[in-house]
Amino acid sequence: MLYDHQTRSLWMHITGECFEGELLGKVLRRADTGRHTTWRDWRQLHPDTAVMAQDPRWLGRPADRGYFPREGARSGDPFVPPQFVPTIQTRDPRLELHDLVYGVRVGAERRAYPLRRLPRATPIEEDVGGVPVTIWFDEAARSVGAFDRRVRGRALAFERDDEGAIRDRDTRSLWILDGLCVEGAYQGERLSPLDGLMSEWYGWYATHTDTTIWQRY
Amino acid sequence: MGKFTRLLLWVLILGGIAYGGYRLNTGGPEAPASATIPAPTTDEARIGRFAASQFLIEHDRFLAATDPAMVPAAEATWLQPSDEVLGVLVSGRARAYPVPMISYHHVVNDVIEGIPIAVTY
Repeated sequence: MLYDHQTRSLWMHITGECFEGELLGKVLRRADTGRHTTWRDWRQLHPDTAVMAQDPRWLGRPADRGYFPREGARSGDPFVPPQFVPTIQTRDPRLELHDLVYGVRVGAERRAYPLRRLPRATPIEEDVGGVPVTIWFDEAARSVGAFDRRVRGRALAFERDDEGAIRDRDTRSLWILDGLCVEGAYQGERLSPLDGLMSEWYGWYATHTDTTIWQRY
Repeated sequence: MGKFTRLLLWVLILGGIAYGGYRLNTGGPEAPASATIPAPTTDEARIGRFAASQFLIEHDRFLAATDPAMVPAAEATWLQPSDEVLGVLVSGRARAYPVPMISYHHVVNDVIEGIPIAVTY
């Protein structure tokens, strides 16, 4: 959980909701676009990106295992130490605790896309919460883009070309994983990102017990 | 690490997990329509947890980063291509927050093009 310095209210980091304290019931808006990916992928798509700089004050503090351990939620090992696993009270056996999912919230619907089941070649296109969505997966970067696929009043359909690039079937315009069209008739257009994030299954499920799970038809 | 510090850490981590599993209070005009986390079992439990959280905040040892310095991609020589980042695009501006750095600070408070954001994981 998070707290804010101003009121010390408590916030759920997965949902952005304040669940206790003065700001109870307030919800943080998710930034467009935030995407969990690799440095290689981000830098390739955004050569002009800025990067959070290393702060010499925090470099090499021995008590903190060093400033820059190369670990993250996707290192392949469960991120939660084994002794905490029994304390996870809200469970669902449909997936393994530590399976990575991309969870989205559209209208009243919550839906999880398990990364290990996602098709590599084809974007997923379906309606979620009454909205036509498209889910893109880059296996090399293990990164997901999830969008409302309506542009200029019509729902587009997407596919990967021979080189793996994402194109809409209509105009063959070229799109990148952040939902931006960078070449073609739709150049400059941007798909609206869904409210979603990458999470281990237990965390997504604990905060969204009514979630559905995507399955290949 | 002193015994007391270690105890505090455990309380903080276990407390965090407990909070992760329970949304203590639902409702409020801006809460989403389907609030699905179970309500607390008793008022005493809820009040106790909240008091514990305020104590832990008082002794917080995590160091959130606020308005971190930024460098151009070419200067980020310490990053390896396979390192994970959280990438954010606001008003056409791209910023990358390396996950290992976020995992150290837990929260990064930043402002992009006038929009205040909090980056966490």
